[in-house]
Amino acid sequence: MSFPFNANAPAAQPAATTGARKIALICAKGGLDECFPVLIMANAARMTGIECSIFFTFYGLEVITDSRVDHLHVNFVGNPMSPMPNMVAGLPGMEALGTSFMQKKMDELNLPRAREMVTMLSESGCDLYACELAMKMFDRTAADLLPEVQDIITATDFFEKTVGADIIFV
Amino acid sequence: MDAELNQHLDALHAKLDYIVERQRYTEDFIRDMTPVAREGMTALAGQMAEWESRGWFDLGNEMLSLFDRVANAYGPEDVRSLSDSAVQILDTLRNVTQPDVLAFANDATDVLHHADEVKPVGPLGMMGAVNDKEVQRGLAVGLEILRHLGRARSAASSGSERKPAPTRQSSSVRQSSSTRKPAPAQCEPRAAVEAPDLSDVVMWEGHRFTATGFLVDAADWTPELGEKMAAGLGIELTEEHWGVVMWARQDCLTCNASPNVRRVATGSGVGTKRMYALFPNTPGKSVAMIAGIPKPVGCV
Repeated sequence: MSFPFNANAPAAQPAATTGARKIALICAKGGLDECFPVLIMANAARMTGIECSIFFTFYGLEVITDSRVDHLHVNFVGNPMSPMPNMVAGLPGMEALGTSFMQKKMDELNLPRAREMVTMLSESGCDLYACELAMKMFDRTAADLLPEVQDIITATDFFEKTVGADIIFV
Repeated sequence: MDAELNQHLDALHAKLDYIVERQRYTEDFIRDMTPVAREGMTALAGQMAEWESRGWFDLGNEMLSLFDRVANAYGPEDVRSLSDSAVQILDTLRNVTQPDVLAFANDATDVLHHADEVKPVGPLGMMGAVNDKEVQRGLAVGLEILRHLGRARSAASSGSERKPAPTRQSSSVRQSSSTRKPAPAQCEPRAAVEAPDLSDVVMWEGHRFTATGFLVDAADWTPELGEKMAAGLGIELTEEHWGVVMWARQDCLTCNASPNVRRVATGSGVGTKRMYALFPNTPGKSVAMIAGIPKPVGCV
């Protein structure tokens, strides 16, 4: 009797779909708490054998910009789940304070930093794309981006590249 | 002729009588009223003397000179506009002099009197103070006042000056350097390992496997069994594969936790890219399965 299990088969997919399971994540925000779900979910998808690509647009570009990726912050203002009142969260230094708390917690959990996360994703075969329009809006050039970024494409290109994928906007 | 004269004299007499009568009344009235009037005059004089002593006339004079000064300083149009807003001023005055407002003002001055006893508050103290219900309510009121202030200000300023938007300089290109952390030597902090679900144990090659295909007892594992499992997964184990599998098994036995992709990739030194090449699709699960250790938890 052969080994009855298959660890390296992609996660089960609905009978209706054909082909390998795919997801396409759109990362439009650059906050530490806003981009990490994207990175973690993309990584988890790759670890589960799901094809994955991420489209970084608007402030999501911060995550793949070389000079910005190590300075992602958490914004507590306007967040109803924020642990401190908005009035206080808006004071100077509070953002940095909150960010350092969250970063400390993430380090305790041995979570990689955003830069390492991007590297990991790229190496695991996740396709990383920068939004062409957002690049123009924020005056970025290809040289500003991390080398892991595969290409600078338009939203149309992205949809064409991710035919059959579940689109997830974060 | 005489008769006519007599008639006239009689009429004149009657009139004189009437006048004399009236005169008597008047004299009586004056005689009666004189003391009263004297009394009244004295009282009035006294009253005025008292007003004088209280300085009311001085005040009146001052008021007159004040009006004079106002008239000099302000033109008639100013005064007219002032009279236009008189109702508003009176409204404001009435609102300000409401008992509760006055009581509040009194309280506030009390606080100012005791300002010496209040301790200085830093940013952290402010955070703490904001938790106080009263302070929160006060903040709300203060913010409301600020909002009205801002609204009044923006209504007052007719033309708002426009600032040029700051242009963002594109950041200088920095040579990206590989900042990968060294392999974690110590065990990761993890939740206690749950006992594997033994409800659907599957027997294969004489060993027990969980329903998802992981060896229930890591001690059952032998390299031969690992090779058979890898073959079942379609992986032919090379030297490189063995290095990864044995590192993962050793790490699991040391830390009592099954390592996931990142830990194996960095710890064994093969790197993420190679991990996905050696164990396609699901490197973490495949390695754990072949190494005979439990299914790894976590998502990095």
